[in-house]
Amino acid sequence: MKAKIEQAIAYLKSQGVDYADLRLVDTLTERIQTEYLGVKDISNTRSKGVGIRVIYDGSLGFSSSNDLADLNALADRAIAIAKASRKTQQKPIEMSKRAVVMADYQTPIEIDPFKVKLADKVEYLLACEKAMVASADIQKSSGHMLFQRQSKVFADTAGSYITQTLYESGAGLVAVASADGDTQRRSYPQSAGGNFGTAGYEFIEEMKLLENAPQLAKEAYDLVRAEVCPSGFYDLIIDTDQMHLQIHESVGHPLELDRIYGSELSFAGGSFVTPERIREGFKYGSEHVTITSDAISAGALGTYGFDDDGVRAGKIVLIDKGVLKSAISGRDSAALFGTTSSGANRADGWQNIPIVRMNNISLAPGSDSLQSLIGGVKDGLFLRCNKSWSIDDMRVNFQFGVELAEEIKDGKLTGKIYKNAVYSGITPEFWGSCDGVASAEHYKVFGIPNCGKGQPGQTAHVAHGSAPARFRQVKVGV
Amino acid sequence: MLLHEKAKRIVDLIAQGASYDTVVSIDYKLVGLSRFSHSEIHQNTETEDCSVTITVFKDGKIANVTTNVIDDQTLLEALQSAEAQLPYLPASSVVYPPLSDVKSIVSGNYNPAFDQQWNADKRADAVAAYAKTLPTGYEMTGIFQVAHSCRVWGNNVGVMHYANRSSADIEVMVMHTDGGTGLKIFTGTHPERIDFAAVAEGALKKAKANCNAISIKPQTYDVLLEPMAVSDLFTYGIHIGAGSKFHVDKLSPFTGMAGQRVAVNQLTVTAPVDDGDLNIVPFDAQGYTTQPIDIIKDGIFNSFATDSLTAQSCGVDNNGRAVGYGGDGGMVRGWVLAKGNTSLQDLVTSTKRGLLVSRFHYMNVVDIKTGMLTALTRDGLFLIEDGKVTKPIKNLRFTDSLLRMINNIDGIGDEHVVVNKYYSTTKVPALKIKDMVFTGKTTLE
Repeated sequence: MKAKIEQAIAYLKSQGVDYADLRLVDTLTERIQTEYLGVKDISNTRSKGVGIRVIYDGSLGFSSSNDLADLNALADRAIAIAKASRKTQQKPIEMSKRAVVMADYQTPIEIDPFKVKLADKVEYLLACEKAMVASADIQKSSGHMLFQRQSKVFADTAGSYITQTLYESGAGLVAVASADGDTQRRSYPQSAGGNFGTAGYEFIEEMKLLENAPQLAKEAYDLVRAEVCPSGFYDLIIDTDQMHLQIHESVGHPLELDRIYGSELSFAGGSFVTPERIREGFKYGSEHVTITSDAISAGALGTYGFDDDGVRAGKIVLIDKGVLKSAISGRDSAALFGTTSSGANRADGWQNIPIVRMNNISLAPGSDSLQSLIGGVKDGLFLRCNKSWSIDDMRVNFQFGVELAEEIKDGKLTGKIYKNAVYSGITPEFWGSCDGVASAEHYKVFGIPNCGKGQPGQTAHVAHGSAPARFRQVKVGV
Repeated sequence: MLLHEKAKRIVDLIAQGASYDTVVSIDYKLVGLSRFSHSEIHQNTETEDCSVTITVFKDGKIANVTTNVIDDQTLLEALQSAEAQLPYLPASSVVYPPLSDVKSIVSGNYNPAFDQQWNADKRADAVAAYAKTLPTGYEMTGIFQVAHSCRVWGNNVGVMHYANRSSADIEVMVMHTDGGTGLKIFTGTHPERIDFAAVAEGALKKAKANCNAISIKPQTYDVLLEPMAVSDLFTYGIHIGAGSKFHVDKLSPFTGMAGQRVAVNQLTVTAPVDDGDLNIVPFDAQGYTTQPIDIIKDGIFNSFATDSLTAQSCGVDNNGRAVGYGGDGGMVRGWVLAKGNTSLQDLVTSTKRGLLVSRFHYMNVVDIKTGMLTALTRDGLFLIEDGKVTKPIKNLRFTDSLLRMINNIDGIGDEHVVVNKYYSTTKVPALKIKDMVFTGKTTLE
């Protein structure tokens, strides 16, 4: 296939393109779902194809197909589309500089998840379900595993040729309890399917699903019988299994440079962050808030070797002690800003064009123990595990629901739990109210395999690390 | 386009190689998308894909393999791979009834004229032409998409359904430098009816009206929802209210409420099969003929979408709305909220003080059992005072129960608009709802 790819690149050069790249992507996924102590679904999916991106006379065209028979014809389509784009182009598209690379990257794994017997995976999930059902009177138990192996080739007219093999593994459990017409769920280790990483089957083993299953069911049983969370302004300690989505929606998305430049306005929306706010060091949060974009963090779901612009993965500081320093970018958006790419342009498979996507956007741990954070709260709540999310089209007003809230009184967890807790805020005000982040021993990373953006809709695999953090006087309830 | 002949060849190849009851599902699409921002195209793409899903059934075991590598050898290897999984799968009580005594269905509106009339060149011409007419200070962003798609369902006992479709979608948002925005959309299946400039003109008109918005207090307001906002609201409502999986799991706000009043008696929501604007595929993902559903009839909750399994488990009829064999039951892909007899102008005139909402952003379910939803307004929120639209308002967040809202409907518009969003196509009028609860504003001080 390499010869065929090199021939297509040579053909693109011969057609006078400014720049072109070709990505061959072959993705294999295995999904296992169990519920009600039985198998719900087992599916295996393979998607293979080629996408060719062309800049011709300063304008962009992209063509992709699962039919690999005639790559020159696909290249011709991309060039024709670029010529059509030229009719509206006000100034030529530029790509920021980067090194020409010949490289190979592979996710380090210990156990190939595709070599673990299907029967063993199913049996394990069903054992977890049995443990849930045995420990509490719940309405429904369910389990989920997802594995992916993605082989990618990137080649461009500048001379880069990069191969990557990325592995992902993930799993999760859910217990649902009902009482008095109400229904509540608890998820482990996280909602939306569980936790996911760039790792092998060892990631599943380390999650200790079976050991945590009984407690999960008990929490669901207790939660459905708990009081509804009171409304008001409270000091909050937000646990890692909610912090990750708080970071995702109110820091990650607003700091996508293509969004900042308006590429997503009509659909996913824009950002209150402007290029000027980046240059001027906008006050995004308190001095406790330092957030990085890190595509080289071992095992995290947003980790890779190279992005789909062929830029080597790296780590940058987005917010340093509350001050906005930079945004995540690809070569095209970075050129608009007058900088180099942060290596965050990624495409969902072969069929889509690369756009700016989060990788691992994480809040740096602080120096407090969790106990001291709680100790500093007179009247507050400890919020755990995301349940719902919503944010406006400029990423200013957010509202999150969590599965479970624990009462804090006079610096201690009282043991009382609440259901249906919802909190809301204004992004910079909220991050400005952060007055403590727990230390590294409490730090956890959660992978999100379903981050949506773009038209047609693209799904990215990203992750967020954090320790529990404290926020003062946040609006709780609606 | 995946023509019938080629689809049949794929189905026959797999059917002839199958050792057990086997179903072949094919999903084909060819999409040309011109996406523009700052009045210039920044993403211009064409994508073709064809994936084949092979589902094998044996003794209550179901194996599923999907591939888009569709040469004969790879397809037969995929079949063998699915069959090879069977010994490792646990037996299940789930048994899908075999489908042999039904007539094959062939339908569609594939129209290659789209490729001549609205190819990438012509789409760019339309964008460029309107961009030149925009007044100073205004820009436009959005999409112009043309798509051909095809869905096939076949099995190893000779049944094969085939449906294809061609359509276009336009979405134009016009924005002023002060932040005032307006959005209009169009979806249609006739290339000669596409008028990009008319859509963009509607967006410009709204953007002009939406400049210099003021901030108001979030509280309870009477609201007049334009059709796009109605579609946003009810898409979530129909998803959790009429998806059979939510009823099986006893999670739907309408669980156990069949035959009961859930809304004002003016509200009727149906999922027809023969509405040309919705272009419903006439068979479902389990091969059953798609049947019409009266979801809410005159305010009474009547029925939800089912597949063969959830129909059995819930003791209701199968209305052919399966989304697959993955245990997700049936879902409604296209629905109609029946129009009323009041013009949009009369709905405004009858409002003493309220809000006119153009659309919502990022809606989500806060609490499924009570149907509690939240979202922000966007691209046009206006104050209505003494029966007149008086001024633009900065965006607000609502958090309110769907059950409460549909019992507070106080008027239904007399014109339908087709809205194609996410996984469903809807046909909706404007709605007036009393006392909708707004809980936050979006102003960055």
